[in-house]
Amino acid sequence: MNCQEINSQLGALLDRELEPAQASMMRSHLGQCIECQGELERLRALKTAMQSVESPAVSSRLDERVMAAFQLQHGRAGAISKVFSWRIWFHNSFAIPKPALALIGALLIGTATLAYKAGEITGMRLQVVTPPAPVYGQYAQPQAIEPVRVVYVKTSGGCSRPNSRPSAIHAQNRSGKPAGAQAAVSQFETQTYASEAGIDYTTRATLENFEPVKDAGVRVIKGGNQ
Amino acid sequence: MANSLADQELLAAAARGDQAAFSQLYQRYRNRVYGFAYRMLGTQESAEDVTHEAFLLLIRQPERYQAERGSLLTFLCAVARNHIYQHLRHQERYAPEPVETSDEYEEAGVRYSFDPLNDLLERELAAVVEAALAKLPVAQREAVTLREYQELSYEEIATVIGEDTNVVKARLYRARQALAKRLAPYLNQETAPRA
Repeated sequence: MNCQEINSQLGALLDRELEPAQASMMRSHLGQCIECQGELERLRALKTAMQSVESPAVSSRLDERVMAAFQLQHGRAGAISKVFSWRIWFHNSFAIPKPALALIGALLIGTATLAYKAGEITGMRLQVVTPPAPVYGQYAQPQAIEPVRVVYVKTSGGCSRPNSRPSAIHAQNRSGKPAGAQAAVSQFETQTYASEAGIDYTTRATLENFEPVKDAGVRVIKGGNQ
Repeated sequence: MANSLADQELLAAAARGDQAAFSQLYQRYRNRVYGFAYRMLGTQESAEDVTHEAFLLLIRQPERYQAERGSLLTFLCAVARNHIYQHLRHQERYAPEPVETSDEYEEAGVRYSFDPLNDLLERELAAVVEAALAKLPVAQREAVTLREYQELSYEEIATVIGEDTNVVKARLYRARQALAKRLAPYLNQETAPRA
């Protein structure tokens, strides 16, 4: 081996990457060649100088990012930063077993149904009152009053009034249309029902003119076993 | 080999959601992966992104690591290398190397005054070495970084870069020649025969 070939392998010799036989041959050459010895020392000095460079420090921010990624992958929200917390919550919200979800849903539906039936059976009066008419300001434009449908349902049973019968009275305020066959109810009954409903009845007995004027609101009455 | 087996065991546990096992793996290799990325890219932000991506693959697809193809560090460095090159392409660092003033003077045969001792007082040797490393071509910088700082064997480096070990030897030789040339004043100072 000549000096040029030796020099090209000096780095591998320092890195201990040569076969034993090749390394032995190089050492025997280095024992006799001052120039190659100088080159070897230069490479040693280079490696030493390179080791003087300190390793860059890993920031805690990187640690947090990596560990958060691990926790996210395995569904743990414990120490994950707030940035990802909503994603974890969303992910975990589906972790409830499906049978449990079905049971909860069935219970909710059953409870709602029972409450609704109980209201009908006992004749509970449910009253829903729309908000009062807006007070028009100095510059406010009056708003058009939309037609409001008023429904009064009289259920059967428990009624002591003569000539009472299951009936449904539908009146459509300001519609101008006949309320249909069910509108053929006596003025007396209509007035009575209106009075019971807390509605001032001010017009004729025909239901097409049925006009609730009290509080300028609309009352929807359901039930009414009185 | 024992370390490799321990890596596999830790990785298997981490794949099952064992956070302590993953943390141990991460602590074991984060500095070396980050150091590789930092020396290749030169910025903390980019190095963090690359390191994060490397471990993210380990988290999401641990089965991608195959022990028979190399060590876990080799695998992580190879993954990091892909992201490093993406960053380099993004940063357009493949542009021609800037002409160095010192080489220019040397080529013109001009002797410039340079006092290594005074310069050492002004700048730390580490900073000079880092600057010299940064001026190396990407492939040479990669080889010398993986060897000197990540302490990979030639075979491991070949696995990381997807080349033959002879290519690794050649790149290391050229890189060291270039570094020795740039750092000659410092190396001569250190190796100068004592009077």
